[in-house]
Amino acid sequence: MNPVLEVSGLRTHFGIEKRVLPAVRGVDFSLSRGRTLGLVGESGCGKTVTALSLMRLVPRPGRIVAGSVRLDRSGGGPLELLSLPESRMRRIRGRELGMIFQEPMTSLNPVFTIGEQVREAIRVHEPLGKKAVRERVIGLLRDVNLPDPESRYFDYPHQLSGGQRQRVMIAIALACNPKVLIADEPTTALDVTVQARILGLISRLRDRYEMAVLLVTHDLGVVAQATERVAVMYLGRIVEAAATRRLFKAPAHPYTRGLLDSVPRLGEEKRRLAAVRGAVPTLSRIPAGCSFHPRCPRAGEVCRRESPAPREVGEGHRVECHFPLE
Amino acid sequence: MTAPEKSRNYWLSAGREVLRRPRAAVSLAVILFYLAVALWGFTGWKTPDWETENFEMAYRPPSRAHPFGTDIYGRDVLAKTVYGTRVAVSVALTASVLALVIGLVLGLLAGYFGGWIDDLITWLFSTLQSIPYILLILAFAFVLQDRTFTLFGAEFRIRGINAVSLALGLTGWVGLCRLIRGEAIKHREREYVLAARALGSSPGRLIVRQILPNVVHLAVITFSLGFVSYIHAEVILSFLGLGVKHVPSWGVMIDDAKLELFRGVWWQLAAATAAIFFISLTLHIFGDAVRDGLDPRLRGERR
Amino acid sequence: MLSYFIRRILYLVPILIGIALITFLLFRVVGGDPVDRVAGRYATEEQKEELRVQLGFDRPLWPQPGRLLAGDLDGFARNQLFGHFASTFTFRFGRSEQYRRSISEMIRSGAGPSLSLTVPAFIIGLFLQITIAMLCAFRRNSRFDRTVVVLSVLGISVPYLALIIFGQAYLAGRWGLFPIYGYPERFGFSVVRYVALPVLLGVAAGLGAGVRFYRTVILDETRADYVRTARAKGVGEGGVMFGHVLKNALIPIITQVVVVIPFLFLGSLLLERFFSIPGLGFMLVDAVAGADWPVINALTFVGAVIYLGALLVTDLLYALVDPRVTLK
Ligand SMILES: Nc1ncnc2c1ncn2[C@@H]1O[C@H](COP(=O)(O)OP(=O)(O)OP(=O)(O)O)[C@@H](O)[C@H]1O
Ligand SMILES: [Mg+2]
Repeated sequence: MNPVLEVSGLRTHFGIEKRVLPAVRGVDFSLSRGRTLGLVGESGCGKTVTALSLMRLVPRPGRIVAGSVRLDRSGGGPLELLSLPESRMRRIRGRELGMIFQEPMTSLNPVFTIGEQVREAIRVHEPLGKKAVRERVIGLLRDVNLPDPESRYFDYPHQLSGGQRQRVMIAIALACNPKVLIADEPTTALDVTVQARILGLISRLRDRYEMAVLLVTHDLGVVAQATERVAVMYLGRIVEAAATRRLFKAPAHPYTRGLLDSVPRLGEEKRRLAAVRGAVPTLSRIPAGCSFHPRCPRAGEVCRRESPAPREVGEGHRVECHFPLE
Repeated sequence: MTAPEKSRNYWLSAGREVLRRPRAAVSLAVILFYLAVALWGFTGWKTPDWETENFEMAYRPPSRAHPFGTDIYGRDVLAKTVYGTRVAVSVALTASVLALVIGLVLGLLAGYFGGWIDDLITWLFSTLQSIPYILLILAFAFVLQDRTFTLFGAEFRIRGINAVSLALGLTGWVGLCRLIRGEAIKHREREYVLAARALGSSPGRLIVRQILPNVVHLAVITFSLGFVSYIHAEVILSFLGLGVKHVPSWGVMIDDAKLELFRGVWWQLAAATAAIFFISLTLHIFGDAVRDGLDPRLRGERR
Repeated sequence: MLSYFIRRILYLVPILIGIALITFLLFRVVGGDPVDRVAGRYATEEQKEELRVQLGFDRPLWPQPGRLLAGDLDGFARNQLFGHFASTFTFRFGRSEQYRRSISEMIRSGAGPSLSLTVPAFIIGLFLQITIAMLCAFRRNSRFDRTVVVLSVLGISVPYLALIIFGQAYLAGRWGLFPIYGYPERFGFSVVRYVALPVLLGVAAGLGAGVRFYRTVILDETRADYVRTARAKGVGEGGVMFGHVLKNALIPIITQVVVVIPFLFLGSLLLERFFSIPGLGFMLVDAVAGADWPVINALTFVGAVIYLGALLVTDLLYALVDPRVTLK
């Protein structure tokens, strides 16, 4: 099947004075219709920056320095987003790519009502009559299971709970039926029961509208529950990507292995909580060779010198490691 | 639990962080130059003569002998400007130090002890704050002018320049006090302070060792910006007749210029304006640099 | 809502008492013999004594607890502190000895000219400051933005008095673009001619500081998360700035604006003096020169009361702009 969004060689750097922090260092993946790709990794590995790069919303002093992001068009060839003029990119945002953010508490504008904010998402792209827009907004709020949408329409964000605000964010992201939904840790700030419901909601809506979803998270439980494929990110690169079940059963990268080991399982008495030893190095001092080698139990001489080339270790299973696990 | 280490190293690196910007370094050099000129004025050692009157020489435009020209009495404007630096710096410095000390002490007391002490101090600064600032300094300067006080058996007479400094200092502490109080309340609740308290250190020690280092950048910024506003206030008070008398000050020089300018005598105004302009400019730039360099929230941002 | 305001006003009571106490301490206790100052240099001892009795300054400064214990309520109440409170809170400020006019009447007649100068200066200034600040935030880090930042710091550093003197001597004196000074006898359209230059100078003087302040406020707001959400919807830069950022920035802007309002009533000391505008600023300068402390006392209290009133208005405006605020 044709991918809806194809990302290759994406690089995004933050230039602070004369220093350059490479937050995303050559990332490739693709999103398909009706499927969810999970993007996992420790805090600071570049997940949010990757997601923002797709929308071309990287904040200053960040800059996308290389790569391509191609969006499939129904008629005609794919559209290269990174070379579009800003005015055309604006018409893509919200209409073709919707995004949900990590912080539901602050991502809504405090001085406008819920209704106004969802309505704006529609009216930026579609010139509809007042009444039609209103009906659509209420329909959307109903779709995301916001209780009592007619009266919630006039509520302000501070009158809603965290979970309800995240539902509104989803409604905003879906307002124009985008082909791609980018969800950046949509449930991290919420408590566990709400988490499960929001994830369920995203899956259902994905199936209903046949969207491609990029689900960013650092929670492997979420990945197992809600994705078909996973990409594991470390220091701005995707070090392993595979079908979710395969990755959980047979991880090939020692880092993935470490991440999986660090998930406490029921019935096991003592687990080493920090299964990946050491701390994430800072972006200003990325180790030479394989950037994971200082923390890797399997590191050998070659890992210090050469960065590993991506290789296939099974069907649709790609890994960047000199000594992948069997 | 250990307190965040604010060692000498921290201050060194903070200082370096501030001075790394060329603008800040140049500004600091200019500020130090003004201070040096003021100090020179205080020592009186070979200072230029501003007092000798010579009516033959009245209102001479800038020349080699008088680079900034002469005033109505034929006095050298450059010498007056130099002497004015002494007045401005001593007014601003006294007022700043006074405001800094009052603001810091009251703010820390209110924030740290809370209770009725806090209520009392809050009441005091809310009251002072509700009086429009210009009226407040005016009222203070007005009543302090030429007053004699007996304190501990000794008589003090408050004259021009001291009245101005006192008025500015006694009214200028409110903003800083509020800031410090807020910060102190925040820091009081922080874990490391709780931990230190549990270890049985005295409140005085706590304030000096734990809270003070965390609010010092606020004090530095308020100090440098306060300094500017005191220099400007001195000009206005001098114009109102509440400032210094019988000695040259930038304020008096500008005030004199209101009649001179109609006769085309621009140099006295230009000299005093330039003197004020450059010190305020550099203090502003330096204050901004301190904020960018020392405020932990801004570190790494904007630049 | 009503109960909210009643509570707020009750909360102001200690502050009003504080202000009266401060003016009392300043003008009656620290300031030396109040009669000496008002009576003028040439008054005889008898005249001074007469004035002292007339103004109640022959009484003791503080309430005498001894009298209260002795059951002498009247004697207890006869003191300068209570007298000061009574006259202050009833807005009976007495007369100006210098002008031999009622101070309340002077304040009433001075407010008009002051406002005719300060209100236009304030409105034009605010409009320019916010517009320029918005443009800066709109194109942050552009050459325009950087130029404005530099110019505003330069502007702040120019002494106000020098600016006024220069403007009067050159714009009015040399080049004759404006009248040098003056104010019409009767309020009318000709006022515009006379206040034009002072307004221009007032606007110029405040521009640097204002632009700097509002630029920071607006830039802080553009870093908020909801701005990113708006961009992700596909809203353009203009919609983001004017639709989203401005309404949020109104909250700090209101705080700044409303507290300035009392100063509008008090006029401008320097501008009114230089351009002979018979407002309250002028009156204050005269009072200082003539040691007319009852006038300073009255303006201090009136200024503070207007300021406190403005704070109440601020609360009301917050509730209008920010849905999170309710007056309860
Ligand atoms: N505005 C910025 N300025 C400078 N550096 C930034 C900025 N935003 C992100 N970075 C850098 O980019 C790197 C990746 O950040 P990113 O936010 O993508 O992490 P993340 O994987 O989303 O982490 P988390 O799980 O905490 O959300 C970080 O190391 C951070 O230092
Ligand atoms: Mg993130």
